[in-house]
Amino acid sequence: MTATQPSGSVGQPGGAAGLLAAAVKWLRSRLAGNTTPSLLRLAMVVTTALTVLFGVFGALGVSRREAALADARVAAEQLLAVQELRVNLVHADALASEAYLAGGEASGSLRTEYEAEIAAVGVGVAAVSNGSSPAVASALGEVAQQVARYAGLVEQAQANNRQGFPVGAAFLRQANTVVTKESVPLFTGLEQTLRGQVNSALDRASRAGAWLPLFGAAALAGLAVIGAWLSVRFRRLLNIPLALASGVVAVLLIVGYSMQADAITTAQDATAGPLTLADSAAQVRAAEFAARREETAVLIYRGNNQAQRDAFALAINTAAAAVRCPATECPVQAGVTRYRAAAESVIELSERDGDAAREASLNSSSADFRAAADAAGQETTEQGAAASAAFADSADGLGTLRVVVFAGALVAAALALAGLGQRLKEYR
Amino acid sequence: MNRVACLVAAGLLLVGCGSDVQLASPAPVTAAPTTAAAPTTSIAPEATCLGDEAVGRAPQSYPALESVPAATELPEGSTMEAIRERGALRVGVSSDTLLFGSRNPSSGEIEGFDIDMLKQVAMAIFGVSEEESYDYLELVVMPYSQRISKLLADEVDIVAHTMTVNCARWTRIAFSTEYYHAGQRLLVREVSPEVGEFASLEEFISDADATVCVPADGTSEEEIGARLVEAGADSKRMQAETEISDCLVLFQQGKVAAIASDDTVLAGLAIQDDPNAIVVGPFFSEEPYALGMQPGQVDFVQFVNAVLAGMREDGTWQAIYDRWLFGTLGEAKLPDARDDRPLP
Repeated sequence: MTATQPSGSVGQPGGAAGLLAAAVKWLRSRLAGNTTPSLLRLAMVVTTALTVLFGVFGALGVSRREAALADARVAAEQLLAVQELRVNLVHADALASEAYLAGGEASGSLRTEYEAEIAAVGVGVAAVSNGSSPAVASALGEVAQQVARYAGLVEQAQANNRQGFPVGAAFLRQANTVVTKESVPLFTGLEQTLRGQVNSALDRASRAGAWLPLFGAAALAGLAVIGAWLSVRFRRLLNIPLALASGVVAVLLIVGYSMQADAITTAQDATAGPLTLADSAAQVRAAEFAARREETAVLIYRGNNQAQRDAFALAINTAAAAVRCPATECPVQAGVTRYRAAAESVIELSERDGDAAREASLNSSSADFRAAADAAGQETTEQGAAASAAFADSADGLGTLRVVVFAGALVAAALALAGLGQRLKEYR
Repeated sequence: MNRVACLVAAGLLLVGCGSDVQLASPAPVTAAPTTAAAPTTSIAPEATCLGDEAVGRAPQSYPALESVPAATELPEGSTMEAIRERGALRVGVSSDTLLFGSRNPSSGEIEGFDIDMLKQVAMAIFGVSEEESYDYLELVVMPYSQRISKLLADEVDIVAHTMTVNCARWTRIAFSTEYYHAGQRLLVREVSPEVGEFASLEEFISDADATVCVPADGTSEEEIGARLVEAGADSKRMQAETEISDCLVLFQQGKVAAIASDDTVLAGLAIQDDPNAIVVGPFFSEEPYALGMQPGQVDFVQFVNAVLAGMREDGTWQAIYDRWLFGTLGEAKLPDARDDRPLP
């Protein structure tokens, strides 16, 4: 099939090029035969328009960047908060499993810790839902229902375990399924959405930065052309007010560009640095808790625990893969490695001596696990705080810049008008 | 093209493209490889069943030794000597069958009727007291579905796991004489004192909406499956679970109306569901329990049969029964010792 050219367009300049040619033609016809006063008036209109446009759109661009950076900060903080909720829930699940394995009196402190984590999920869901998007709030509402069901199943598991009823282990298995198959996928989906929101806000912030230099450069160029025309037409080297107007625009352009670049660089550095590290450390922590849960479950379901063994291997591999070391010394990495060795040794021991494996799991492996989780938790807290602070810093000064750009552009417009008005007066 | 245009514009304006820095999503981690199932050994079937399954009698086992040899005088080169030298009897058990094999949460030990049977075997091999015998058991907890495969893979020496001995299973592994005679019944919800929602299996099958849970790969699955087919009922009315305790969870959550299994197992479940569940109906199949052993270890089967014979005679069997089952199942008849299987 061959495309045919529409007959009406043959020989006609098309689109933007045609419009430009028509505009030039119109301008030439207007300028031809025009007197100097009318040209001066036209120059006044053009300089005013260019400087005011610079003021309006420059300030708007700064404002948009400021808003986008605030959005990025909110999304980043929500991401960290949602990750904390996931960690709370997976930690609660690990504690429930550990308490079941410990049985009897030993589980008292574990139970207290478990209840604190479940309560933290409830409080956290309410806090994050408040002020989040409807989609996020709805997903968190679903999580809240799942957690209530989960807690009920754990209660049944523990009650049966206290009476020595093996059915408790089956309830515990069902409870774990609620966490791993229902809640965790919801959380990871939410986290993915919030990562997307951070990236999208950074994109918007980056694009908004074009407005100030674009309109600033146009205003500066216009002032320069008109200044040059004046010096030729009136044989004077400099029109001081017009030169001052150009100077004001140039300063605004340089300072504004520099401050905006600083802002986006700070936000990007926060994303690539502390936010990425906090995100990774939170994933490491959640995976460590999942691994701990599976380690104890391997012992609880001894004899029929291939699924738990596979889940342990997957969780500990996930933890290892998520580690990001900010420095040569990496306590998170060391924690994962040490805990992996301890847990694998427990699992290996469980094949030969279940009771010894249980003791090792509740003592040495538990200590290594807690050290690893603490290291990842500390990294999450420190890097999360650093990311929040950096995002807050990134928008610092942009509010003032917005006002200064707008006011400065008006001053530049007034100076340009004064300079051109001076020549017009002299001409009369 | 858009990216190129953006870069050109950025070159002119120095800014204006989307952010080059993005928050990366976590990389997917490959699932751990699942361990391959234990290989099963193909065993030539026994020439004859030597049982009378129609009346629920256990197939014959190998003749018991005349007496149990002292632990220090185990025959040279025998399976028992190898176990003694190893220092542990590897036993396949359940950890969630209350009364037969379940973990005591305060001690962490697995205990029950089946475990006590194994302790007696360990006492005979190692010459230790009953109190010490638990330390000589290497407990391998397994679901119903792995009882035979673990024996065939030489992961355990003996299995005591409420296992029914029948002709089909004798074609794969060897069994001791019968140590307990159970039968399959139904666990249902109690609607009034001593009255269940269904009175028998037949009544249950006639209710088209009622569903039942059974342990996977056990004789209950075969039996109920066959009964449902026979009655032209929907096979989806039967749900098989790897662990019997999962059946109880489904029952307690109202997702199934009944659980079908051996009366011994159901008695343990009923205790855990007290006071809502009741075991009903006559036996709809006979389930003689025996200890499973590896095929070819005839000497070990004869030795275990001698241990069981001694327990029958000296009252140990009755004492163990009284300790675990009398309170729940009442009086029991000592099972016959059928041990006329010709030696290979």
